[in-house]
Amino acid sequence: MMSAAIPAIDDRPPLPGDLAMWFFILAELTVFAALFLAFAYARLWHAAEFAAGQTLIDRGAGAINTVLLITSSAFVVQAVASIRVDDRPGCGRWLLAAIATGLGFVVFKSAGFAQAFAAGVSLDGGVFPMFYLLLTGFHFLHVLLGLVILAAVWVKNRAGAYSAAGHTGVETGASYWHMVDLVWIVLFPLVYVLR
Amino acid sequence: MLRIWIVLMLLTAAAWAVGIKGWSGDAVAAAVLATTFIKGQLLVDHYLGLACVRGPWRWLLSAWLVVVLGAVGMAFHLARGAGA
Repeated sequence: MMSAAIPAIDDRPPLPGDLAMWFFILAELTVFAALFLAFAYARLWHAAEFAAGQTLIDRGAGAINTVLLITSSAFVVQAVASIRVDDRPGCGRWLLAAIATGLGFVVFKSAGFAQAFAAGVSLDGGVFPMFYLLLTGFHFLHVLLGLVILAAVWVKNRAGAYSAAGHTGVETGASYWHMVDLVWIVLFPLVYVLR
Repeated sequence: MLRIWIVLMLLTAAAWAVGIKGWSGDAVAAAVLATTFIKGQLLVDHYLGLACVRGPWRWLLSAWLVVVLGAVGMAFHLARGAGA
């Protein structure tokens, strides 16, 4: 007598947000991985230039930017938790807090770029300045895009588009923002700390 | 969630202190990269929420951290061997 095999039921929660965003996140992480490794291995052949270049960038500002992004990510976690219990106003408030801290990063990083340019850092100023501006500038563009996404999620939430039963958009925007944070968590020690 | 944020802040402060002090060497690089891995994994598990989701996603992001941080550590080790 044959008995039909009963497939195991996976009762773990599904991936938060839209699957397409996760493939986009993997693609972004691959690009950043290539840039990180290019920076680290270029340093092998230009050690003195990298050491001199690191003295021109402000480590304290790098740490403050890390605090701002991690805190902004924590606010987004609270926004997702709020909408999961149908607290739409709470979700909106946490999203605004995340956007405000994200804008803090933009302001602080812009000041950092201005300081670096004043110190003579430029794209054609050598290998270290080129990599510094490429890495941090490319990440900066991702922060700006992330803020646009969070603002769009906030507007849709305000319009009543999300609820406990349907909030894929909030989770998708949150996932992108956390990816931007994850990239900075690796960028900070690589560019600002390690010698 | 507050506890995760506090741990992330403390690890960031530790890395910043290493940068300010100007410490270098293989042991310092290994410690900084290890704390970076912990920060990244905390973010993957608790912020991205991948700690117990279906599929290979948590492992994909953990592998990304291991590969990137491992290769960066190797580059810094080779630079020291080359007299950097």
